[in-house]
Amino acid sequence: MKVEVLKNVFEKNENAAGENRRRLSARGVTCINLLGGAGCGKTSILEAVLPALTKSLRVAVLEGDLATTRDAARIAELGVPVVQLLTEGGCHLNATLIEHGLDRLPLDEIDLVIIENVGNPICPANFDLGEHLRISVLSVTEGDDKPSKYPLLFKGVAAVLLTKCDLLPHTDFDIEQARQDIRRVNPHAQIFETDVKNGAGIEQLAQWILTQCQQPAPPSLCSKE
Amino acid sequence: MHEFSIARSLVEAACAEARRVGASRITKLIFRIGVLRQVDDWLMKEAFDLAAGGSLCDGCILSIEKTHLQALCPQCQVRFAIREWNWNCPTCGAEGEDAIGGDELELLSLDAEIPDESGSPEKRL
Repeated sequence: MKVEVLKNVFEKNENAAGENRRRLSARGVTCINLLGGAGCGKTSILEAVLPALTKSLRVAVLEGDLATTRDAARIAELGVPVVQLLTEGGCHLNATLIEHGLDRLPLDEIDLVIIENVGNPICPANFDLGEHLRISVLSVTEGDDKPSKYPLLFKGVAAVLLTKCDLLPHTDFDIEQARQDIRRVNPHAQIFETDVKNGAGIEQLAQWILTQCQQPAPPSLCSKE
Repeated sequence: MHEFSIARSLVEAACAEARRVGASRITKLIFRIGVLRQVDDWLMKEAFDLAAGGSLCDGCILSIEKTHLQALCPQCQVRFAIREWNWNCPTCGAEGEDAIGGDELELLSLDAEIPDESGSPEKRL
């Protein structure tokens, strides 16, 4: 017998993600999912922007990694509460891992949770974690072809951070090409050109994140609810 | 290697559906997946066989239907599929605008064996 189904296969993860989002929204907590390939500069961006954010927000970080607690240690040095989520070889975080991470945070005393996903340009983009906003990171050393190779990483995100822009003179990275390809799949994304060595773009990024947190109900760009 | 997570979710969804209709076994699944998901078909089938082991989907044929990223031509209002990152409308050449599509992850249908009341085949899970 043939049974017609038409069922979203990720329903279970999306239900768990929806539950996380409701739990966070109910406490007025904004949640950002930070994604990008290994070595694109996600942790360095956090180190650069957290001091500006913590002046006016209570921030916590969920640090996703395959192994080691090195990134979590870097965040903890800034005095920001951090929970390490080890996937032990798994290439992405999922909503259930985030639920357990949130259990370990005093959510009533937090305004913003930033999830640093596992470094990988493909797999993490597939999984809704319950965030309100996604931010993608692309370093200029990775190449301007990445938006066309990994479009899901850029689709539906609220912002794209082009990092390591101080290295532009040493690469063939074509900023206009990258911008055009990002816009093709995501005409509304805010694009920031950053460089943590000289602090370029960091203040603008911090201001933008603050504005997002001040929205009464943060937009659920990744949500299908 | 998100194929395994997808395979496990697919098996769970299919088994839930099979139980709902009282099936004893699933023989074939049709799964629609968008290219944006960047799934390798061979890896997907390997992962599916692993995830299906011992379940109602054990030994089931997985048929994969791929969908492409979609664009809408602002001039002629025609939807077209993006292939090889070519955003030009096949009719007028204008740059297309992003349209919904290409990120599907849908169980479309399944072929199920449903035991009749007399000689019902043995249920596996």
